[in-house]
This record gives sequence, C-alpha cells and structure tokens, in this order.
Amino acid sequence: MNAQPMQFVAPADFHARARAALDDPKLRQSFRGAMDFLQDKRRAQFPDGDELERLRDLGEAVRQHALSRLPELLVQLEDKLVAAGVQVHWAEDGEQANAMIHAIAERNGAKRLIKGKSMASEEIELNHYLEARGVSCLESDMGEYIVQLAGEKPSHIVMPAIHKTKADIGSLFAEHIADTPYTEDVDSLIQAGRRALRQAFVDADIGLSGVNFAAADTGTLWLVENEGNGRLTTTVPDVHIAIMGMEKVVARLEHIVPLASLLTRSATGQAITTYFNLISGPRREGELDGPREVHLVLLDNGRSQAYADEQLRATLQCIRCGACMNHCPVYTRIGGHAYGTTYPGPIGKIISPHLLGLESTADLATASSLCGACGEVCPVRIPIPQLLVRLRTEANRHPDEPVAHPLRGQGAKFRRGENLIWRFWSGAFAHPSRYRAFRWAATRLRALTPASQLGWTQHRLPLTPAPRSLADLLDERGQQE
Amino acid sequence: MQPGPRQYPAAPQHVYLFATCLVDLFVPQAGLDSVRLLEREGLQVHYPRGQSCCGQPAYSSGNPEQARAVARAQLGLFGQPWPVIVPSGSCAGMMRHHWPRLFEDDPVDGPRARELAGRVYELAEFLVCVMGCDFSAGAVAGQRDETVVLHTSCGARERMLGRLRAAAPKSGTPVAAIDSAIDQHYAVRRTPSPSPRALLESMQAALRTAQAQVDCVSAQAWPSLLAARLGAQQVRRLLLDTASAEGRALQAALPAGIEALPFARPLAEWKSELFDTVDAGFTVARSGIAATGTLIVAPDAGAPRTVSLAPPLHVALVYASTLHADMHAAARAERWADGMPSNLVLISSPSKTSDIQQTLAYGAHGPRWLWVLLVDDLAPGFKPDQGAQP
Repeated sequence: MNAQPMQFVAPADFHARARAALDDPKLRQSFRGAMDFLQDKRRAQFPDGDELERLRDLGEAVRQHALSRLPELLVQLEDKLVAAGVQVHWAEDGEQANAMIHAIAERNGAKRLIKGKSMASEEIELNHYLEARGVSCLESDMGEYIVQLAGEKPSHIVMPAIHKTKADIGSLFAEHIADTPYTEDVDSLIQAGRRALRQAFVDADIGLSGVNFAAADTGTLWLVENEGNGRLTTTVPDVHIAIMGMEKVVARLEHIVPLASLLTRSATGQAITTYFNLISGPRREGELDGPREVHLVLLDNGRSQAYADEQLRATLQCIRCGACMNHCPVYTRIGGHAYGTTYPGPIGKIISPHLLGLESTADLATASSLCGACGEVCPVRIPIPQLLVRLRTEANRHPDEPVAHPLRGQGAKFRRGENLIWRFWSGAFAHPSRYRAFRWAATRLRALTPASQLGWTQHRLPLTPAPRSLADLLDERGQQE
Repeated sequence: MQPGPRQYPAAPQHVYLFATCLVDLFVPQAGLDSVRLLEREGLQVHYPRGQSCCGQPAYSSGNPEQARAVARAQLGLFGQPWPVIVPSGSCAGMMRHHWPRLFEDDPVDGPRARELAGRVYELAEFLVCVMGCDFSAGAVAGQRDETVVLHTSCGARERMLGRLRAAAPKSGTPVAAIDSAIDQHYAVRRTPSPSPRALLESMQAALRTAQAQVDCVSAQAWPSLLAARLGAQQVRRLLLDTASAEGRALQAALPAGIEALPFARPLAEWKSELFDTVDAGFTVARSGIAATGTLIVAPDAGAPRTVSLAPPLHVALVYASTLHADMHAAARAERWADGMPSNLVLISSPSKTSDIQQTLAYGAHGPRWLWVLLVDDLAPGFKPDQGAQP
C-alpha cells in the first residue's frame, strides 16, 4: 500500500493557513454544508431539552469522577486486563508508544498492519514511524482510507474526509484502486472501497485500533463505529493493539452507557451507532476467532500537564464527539487542516498546547470570538471558552513568572511592549479622572490618529475618535447621572 | 451566571446606560440614539459619568489582571437596582457572563459583579423583551422594511441548548452517587414496567428505521420463512451453529440448494474461504434493546465473532422475551459488571458509513444486509426452546 507521505505542518503557521482557507470558496462550501448537516442531525437527536441537559450533567459527573480517581482507575484497568490476558503498556510520549508498537510488530514478524480509526495514533504519527521501519499501515475506516490515499491528514476527528467532495473521491479511487472507473455514485464508491480493503483484513498481521471508553471494573475496551472495519480490525488479525489516551478510563462499565449515548448523538446525530464492540480480552480457550494477543497502549503525551491544573483538567473530560467543531463559527469557515494539529477546532485549541507546547500553538486559542457555542454543545460540559481565555493568559504571562503549574511554552506570546500598553490602558481606564483626561486628549488630537492600526486596519477602516465624546454631548444635554 | 431563557422583569421607570468605550470615543451618535430610543419608551436614562470600559479588550487578549482593574472601576457606578443597558452585544456579554467569572474568587467584588451582571441587558434585547417594542415592518408609522445587522451577544446559542444547565457536581463524588444518578436518569425516562408487547413493537420500529429487515414470527414458523427468504436471496453457503437448537431447526428447513456450514475450524485455517465464499451468517442474539433496536450478541465457540461480521448478510434471531427497554436496563439485568465475555457486540443496523459527503451508504465493511427474526414467545406457557424443535 502506498505510504502516507511525511507531511507535517507547523501549527505555528496558523494565520497563513487560515487566510488561505478563507479564500477557498470550495472548501468553505464543503464545511459549511457539512456542519449545517451535522448540527441539524444533532438537534434532531435531542428533542427533549430537559433530557439533554440532564444527560450532560451525567456525562460531566461521570468524567469528572473518573478523572478525580484517574491513577487508581488506570491501575485497576491494568489489573483486570492483565488477568484476562491482555498486555498493558504505558507510554509517556509518542516516541515511546511508537517504539512499543514497533517492538510488538517485530516480535510477531509482522509486515502488514491494518488500522481501525484512532486519533491517538494520528497524534503520535504512528503510520510514518512504522512505514519508515518497513511495516505498512493501511487505514480501513472509509474516511481515513480516503485521506490516506490523498496523502492528507484528517480534517475532522469523527469524519476525516469531510473536506472532500464525492467528485474528489471519485477521482482518487479511479486513480488508486484497480478496475475502478470514475464515478460520483456514493454507493459504488463505498463498494469500491470495500473491495479494496477486504483482502487487506485477511492479509493483515496486526490490527490496530483506538478506544472510545475503557471500564476499570470489568477491564473492558468499548469501541464505537458504523462500518464494521473496527470489528474486523480487532477480530481477524492474530494480534490486536489498542491505543488509548490515558484519560479515557471510567470507574464502571455501566458509566459508559450515558457517555456512549452522548457520544453518538452529539457526534453524528445517531441514537446509536451500528456497532458497540466491547472487548474484554483475547480469544479464550475453545473460541475459534478473535486475536490471540491483545495489547493496550496507555498514552500520556502531555495529558498529565493538563491533569496537574485543576481548571485545565477539564480538558481531559472530552469524549471526542466533535460537536464543538461542528458548531464552531471558526472551524466552519476554515476547516480542520488550517489548525495544523491532530485535533482541530475548539477541542484542538485547548488540548494541543498540552500535546505540543504553547510555543507553536499559542495562536490557536486566539482564533475564537469566545461566542461560547462549543461550551454549550459539549456533552460533558467542558468550559471551553474559559479554557481558551486561560491559555491566552498563560501565553501572555512572562516566561519566567513563577506559577504553580507552568505550561510548556509559558509566555510564548509575551511582548514587553504589548504588556506595557495593557498596563497603561488599565491605568487610564480604571480611574475616572485619568479616563476623562485620556478622552479629552483623544478627541482633541483626533487628527493625529494613525491611519494604519496594526491588525485592526487589515480588514477594517481605522478607528478615529469622534470630535466630541458621548460624555460631552450628554453633559451638554444635561443628562442625569 | 447560568445561561438559559432569561426571566425578564416588568418595564422599569429608570435605566442606566453603559455606553462602552467604543461608543463614547468613536461612535457617540450611537450612544445618543440609544438614549433617544430608551427615552421614547418613557424611561429616565441615567448616564453615570465615571464609566469607561467593560474590560473586554484586555480580557479577550489574555490579560485578565488589567481587565479586572478596569471592570472593578465600573462596579460601583450603578448603585440603584435599575437595569444597565449596553448598546453592544459583546460588551453586554462580557459584563453578563464573564464578569462573574473574572471576580469568581473575590469575596467583595464577586457578589457585586454577579449582582450587576444579573441586570445587564443588550439594548435591543431590553427594548424587545422588557419594553415589548415591536420593530416589525409597519409596526412603526412610516417605517419601511429595513435591512439590519444582528450582532448577537456572545453565547447566543445559550437559549437553544442551555435551558436547564445545572450546576456540575464537584469531583470526588462517591461512585455510589454516580451509580444512583445514572439509575435515576434512566428510571425517570423509562415507562414503568413496560409491557413485553410494547417492547416488541418498539424493537421492530427502531430496526426498520435502521434499514434492517424485520419479521415478527412465531416459534414454529420462522425456520421455513427464513429458508424461503434465503433461497430467494440466492444464498448458497450459510454459516450457522449446528449444535444449537435454532441452528438445527434452520438446517432442517433449508432447501437443497443451501449448504449449512458450521464454524468448525479456527479462523486462520479458512479465512479466505470465509471472506470469499460464505453468503450469510446466522446467529441467535442473547437479547435485545427495544429503545434503539439493538441486538446483543455474545459470540461463543459455536457462533464466533466473524459469523455476524464477515458475510454480506447477517441473520439474527432474537426472542421477544429477552428484550430490555434500554441499554441501562440491559446492563443491569444481565449483570455486565459481574463479568464480560471476551467480546460482546451490540448491533443496531447493517454496516453503514457517511464518510463520503455525508451520504449514507450501506455495506461499508460489515454486512450490507441485516435480517432480524423477532420470535414472539410471549404467549403464556411458551418456552423459547420449544420453538427450536424441528
């Protein structure tokens, strides 16, 4: 299978990519249509506002409870899984996780790996790592397969190929899949994809999947999907490797019931997906299929930084439904690729600084009007707007300022000059007499207002003070206080 | 500040105008117009002279200290309990939603900020929702249709979704509290002791919506019905558990052209054969979930995981007496917490995808067709296994 080309983009170039995306009418049309569609689908799943709000309470309570006991739950999960015959691995970062997975492949003499959908594997760039070491990785989720063929990265965490039209995909399949004429008929395209991947499931030595939820009490990995590729990936090859962000464990299997309902309804507006695949161990004595070897890789990769801070810990409540993207006025207009991070959109803005550091991600948190839509649709009530403000504050903080839980890249946007301007502003605006003096000067010296005002005049007319302020005019009018 | 549909007070006699620094310095005419609009409604408009800015510029640029200093300077200017009218959506949003957060931990200014935030209104909101103004065409003499720009306050989607946003439980909640919250959540929404007949109907309806073919059949009739269906579908090789009662019943009913194939060898020994030559797989579901039309399938030695997965047609039989109202009820009744099989699969439709331009297509990687035989074993005195006698 053709390898996905190395195509890292620096999240630091966010502004330029956002500009380019805004100038691309086709991309904007694709995302607008898709996001409107997903918003409608979600709305239709929650006709009862009372039920929605209470379910969100439950989801939040379950996730907060799990996070409050995260260390012990991870140990309990490990104990249970090991007792069932699953091998559990702990990875501090992507490099460690990649090396572990490669070692499992080497030990099994594996050359072909088939993948179910896993954003954690995208986060650690697993495909590149393994391809460079002679292990082919084939994405089997239709959307992931499409972006892999195109040499791209997912533009949405739930619908990876949402930026592509059926014409794009028709051309892609005609070019890459044998005996496939160009068509825009979606049914035929899906069948072409099915044919192309079917033999790959049979031939694969290893199946690698993500994990949506894990239950510590029963030692169960809960996978959510529609296509069946996840089940094939975790059933047909002799070895199954699951990789999971370490925050995804909850105390009890029954706690996942409301979370799963929130996930499918918030993500794609489905009451339930086609398959919930609950895996509690490898093939048992007497069973005739299912993997002989099951591994679970628990990934930190910056999550512990968010965990350390009480406010930022809420970031880890996320169940990766993507509703915040679907409702974000920024994501809707620039799409997922502009962010340059594995997780785009509002959740990407608040999780990426922990994964990558603020040095390259500080601009992301500024790409929000703080409209609050993300926080309002979040099924587990992550206060995303507040976390955005917090990250802006951390980026503006002096790099050397001592704080309880310093973030990687603290002060990435700190500028002495800007800092002074805000101090001056606050000094003037917080005191009525100084503000009056400032106002007097601003209105009398309005002729001196510069025509170019940094970023403001890039797309707007310059701000010029009025000849007389409102306060003056109202004084004249004798307005009461 | 809890978002949600706002309770509006009766029309007052006095209001404060918080004009914002932008209006004061750059567009004072908008401030004068605001005053006129309010006065037209018979209101006395008060303009406290000490006001400057809500603090939003510093706040949204990540400089909360400076924002706090400026916001704090405004807190004491609005001493009477009158509404504070702001002719800017985002400034009103800043004051109403972000001030309480800005002063959250401040024992003195926190209560003041919260109190003030509670009576901040965006100008148009105030005119329409409190004063009952009607700006629709023709409502004002001489007014024609106008094109206007709507600048909604930050957090505009609150009304749609935030109606009953409740306070979050603190972390460190005992697990029993979470358990009972979940129990209660589902109990409240579940019909108390639903009739088995109602569950059967709900199951059928949900499965049909999900594009499964559903037949509600008697224990005696299903083998011959299914055999005929399989013949019509031109199934040649059918995977089934010949050791189970249902498998034997079906095998006995099959016409000559259909081969009943047991899963006799480990998958690795006949992977390609299974993938390439088997037309259908038959399983008996452990139970079902009526609310979502879900089959609960616990693969075992006789009917391994791939039976419901690899062939293009999956036929599942489920007894009406095994139906649960919802997933929570199923997990409880089947005591999932006491131990799980190596694999438990919940199936709610044929394999599907919307990954190409949000267009729904079936048969992505799993079975393209899902047939469900709902065996009605609800008649009094009936035992499920009787139906399996050939």
